[in-house]
Amino acid sequence: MTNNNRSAISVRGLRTRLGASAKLGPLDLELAVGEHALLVGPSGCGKSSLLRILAGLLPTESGDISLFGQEVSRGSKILLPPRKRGIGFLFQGGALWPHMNVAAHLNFVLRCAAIAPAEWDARRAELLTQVGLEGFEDRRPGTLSGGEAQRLGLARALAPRPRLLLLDEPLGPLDAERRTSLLELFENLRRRLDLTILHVTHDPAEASSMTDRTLHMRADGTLAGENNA
Amino acid sequence: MSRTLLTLSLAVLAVAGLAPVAVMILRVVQDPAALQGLLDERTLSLLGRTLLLGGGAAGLALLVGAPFGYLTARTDLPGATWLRSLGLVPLIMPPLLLAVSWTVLVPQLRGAPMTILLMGLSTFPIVALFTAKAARRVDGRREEAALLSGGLSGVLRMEFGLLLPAALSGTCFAFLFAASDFAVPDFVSSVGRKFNVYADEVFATWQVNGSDSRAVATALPLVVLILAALLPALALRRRGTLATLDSDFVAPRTLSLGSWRWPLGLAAWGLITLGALIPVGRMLFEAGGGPSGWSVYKFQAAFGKAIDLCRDNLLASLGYSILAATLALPVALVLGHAIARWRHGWFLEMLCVLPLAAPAILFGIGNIAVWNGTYTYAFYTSGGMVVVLYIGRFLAFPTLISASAVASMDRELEQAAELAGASPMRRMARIVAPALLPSLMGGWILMFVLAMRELDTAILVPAANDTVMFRMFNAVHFGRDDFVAALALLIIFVTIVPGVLWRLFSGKELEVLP
Repeated sequence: MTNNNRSAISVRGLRTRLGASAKLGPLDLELAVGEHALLVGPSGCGKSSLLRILAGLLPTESGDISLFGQEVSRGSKILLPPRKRGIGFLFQGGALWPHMNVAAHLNFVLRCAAIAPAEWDARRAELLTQVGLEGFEDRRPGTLSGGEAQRLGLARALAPRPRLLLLDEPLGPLDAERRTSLLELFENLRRRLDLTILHVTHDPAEASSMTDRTLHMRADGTLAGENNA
Repeated sequence: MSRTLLTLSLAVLAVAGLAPVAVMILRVVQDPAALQGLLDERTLSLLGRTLLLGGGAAGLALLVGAPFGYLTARTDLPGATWLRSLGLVPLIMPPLLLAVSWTVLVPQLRGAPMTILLMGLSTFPIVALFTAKAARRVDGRREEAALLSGGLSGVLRMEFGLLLPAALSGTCFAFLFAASDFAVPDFVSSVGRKFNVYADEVFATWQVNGSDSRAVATALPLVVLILAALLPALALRRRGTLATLDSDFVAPRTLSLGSWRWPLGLAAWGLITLGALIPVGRMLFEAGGGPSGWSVYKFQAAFGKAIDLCRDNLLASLGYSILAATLALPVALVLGHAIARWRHGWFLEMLCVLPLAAPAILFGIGNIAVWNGTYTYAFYTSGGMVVVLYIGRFLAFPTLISASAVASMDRELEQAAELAGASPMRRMARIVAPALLPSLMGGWILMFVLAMRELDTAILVPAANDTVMFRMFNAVHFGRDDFVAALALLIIFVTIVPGVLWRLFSGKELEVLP
C-alpha cells in the first residue's frame, strides 16, 4: 500500500485475465496529482480494461491499487466501490442515457452526489458553460452530434467534482477539428479544476502534444515504457 | 444489483413458482408406488397422442408462421402493417374461443386433425414473432452483399441460416403451449371422435383418485417432453435474437417481392382470415342471432346480457390479470437483469422456466397442495390465490423478455450511473427500467394476455371459479347461443385493449418475445 499523497494513481503488480485468452499485466503504474498522461497501445491490449479496473468496474486477480493515497483494491478484493472513488469516466461511446435529456443527465448525477436541489440550476449552468453546451438542456442524446454527445458525457463525468478523470478513447468518432477542440477543452479543465487525467487511445499522435507523459502498452497487456513531454 | 431487491424477487419466484413444483416432486418421492404403470400401454398411447398434438401444431406453426413473420416484417407485402397487428389476434384470443368458432363452422372435422389445426392456428404467431424479430435485426450491409451476388434468392439463402434458430425457438415455445393445453382437446373431444391427450389424463387421474402423487407420476413423461422443447428453445432464443445484431447496426431495407407480391399477399391474408377474421366474424354473426336471423337489436341484447351476467367475472379477471402483471413486472426486471448480467445467469434462467415445464394442470394441483392447508386456507380461497397462481405460472415470460432486453443494453449505461454514485436500486429504477420500457411493457402485456386467457390451472382453484374464462368454459359446455358469442367478443376486446392503447399513445414497437 502506498501513502504517497502526491500520487493520484498507484498500481502495484496488477495482473488479471480478460476473457478466455487475453490477459492484462503484470504492470505497475504511477501517476502524480495534476498529471495528464496518455496511455497508448494496440487494439485489444487491455487499455480500456485498465481504466475500468481503476474505476472499480472490473475485478482483478492480483495487485494493489491506490487512488490519492487510499487503497481501493487489494488482490481480487474491492475495498472501495466505484461510486466512492471520486472518479469521472468518459466512455468511448458516450454511454449517454437515451431516455434523459441533457438537463436530466446532470440532475441525475447531482442528486446522486447529494447536492441540494436548490444548487442544481447554478451547477448545471456552470457545467454546461464549461463544456460549451449552453442552451442544450432540453436536447436528448439522439439529437446531439458526436462532439456534443462527448461534451455531455464530459459534463456528466465532471458533475460530482471528481479529482481523477479517466478518458476512454474520447476522440474516436470525431473529425479533426472537433478532436482539437475537445483536446483543448480537456487541458483547460485540467488546469482550472486541478484534475488528474488518464487518457486512453490507440493513436499515439492523438494527444501527445497536450499531455505530460505517454505510456506505451504492449499487445500482451504489459507496459513497455514511457516518453515525457 | 441490489441484494434486497434480488432477495425479494427470488422469494417471489420461490413461493409462487417453485414451491408448487417442489411439493409435487416431494409427493412422488414419498410415494414411489405411484410410478408403477408409468409406461404402460395406455400411458404410452397418451404420450403418442400428445406428441402428435404438440409436434403437429408446432410443425404447422413453423410452416406458416416463419414465412408470415418474415414477409410481414421485411417485404412490401400488401397490407403488411395491418397483417402484423392482425397476426397477433390468434395468440391473444383464448384457444378455446378459436375452438368454439371452428367446431361450428366445420362440425364434421373433430378429433386429432381439428385439435392440431386449432393449436397450430393459435400458436403460429409465436413463430412469426420470433422470425420477424430476427429478420429485422439482419444487418442491411450483409443483405446488400447477398443481393448483389444472388438477388432476392441470394438474400433468402443467406438469411435462412440466420433466421432458423429464431424460428425453431418459436416452434419449441409453440410445442410447449400446444402439448400442455387442456381446454381445446377437451372441448373438441366433447362431441364425436375423442382425442384425449396427456393434460386430460393428469386432470382425470387427480379427479378420480384424488391422489397428487399419481397425478404427478402420470405427468412425468409430459414434463420430460416439455423440458425437451423448452431447453433448446432457450438455447436457440439466445442465438436467434442476439447473433444477428452488430454494434454498428445498419437497418435492412424493405425487400421487393416483385411478381410474388400479390400471390404471397393473398396467402398471408388467407391465413389471417382463418386464424382471426373467420372466428371473430362467426362470433359477431352468432351474437346477432346467427342462423335464426341477424339483427342489431339481437346483437345489442346479447352484449347487454353478457355484460349483465358476467360483469363481475370480467372485472375479477381484469383485476387478477392486471394485479398479477403489475406485481410480476419489477420481479421480472430484477431476475432478468441477474440472468443477463451474472456469469451463472443460465442457472437462474433454468429456475425461472421450471414452472413452465410442469403441465398447467399439474401446476394447479401443486398450488392446491401448497396452499390448501389449515393456516393458509383463508388465502387459498381468496382472490390473492389467483394472482399468485398467475405470477407463478407466467413469471418466466416477462423475466425472459427482460433478460433479453438487458443483454442487448449497453452495460456502460449502468456503469456510468454507478460511477456517478447511483445506488443499485436507483440504477434499476432510473436507468435500466426507463431504457427498457418497450420490453417491460411488452412483458406486462404478454403476462396480462396469458392471465386473461388462462383456464387450465384456474379450473382447479376455487377462487378462480369467478374468472371470465371459467364462466366461458362452463357456458360452452352447456350449449351455445348469442350470449356465449357476445361474451367471447368481450373477452377478446378487453384482452386486446392494453396493446392497442400502447400502440396508439406510445408510438413505439412493443417487445413481447421471451
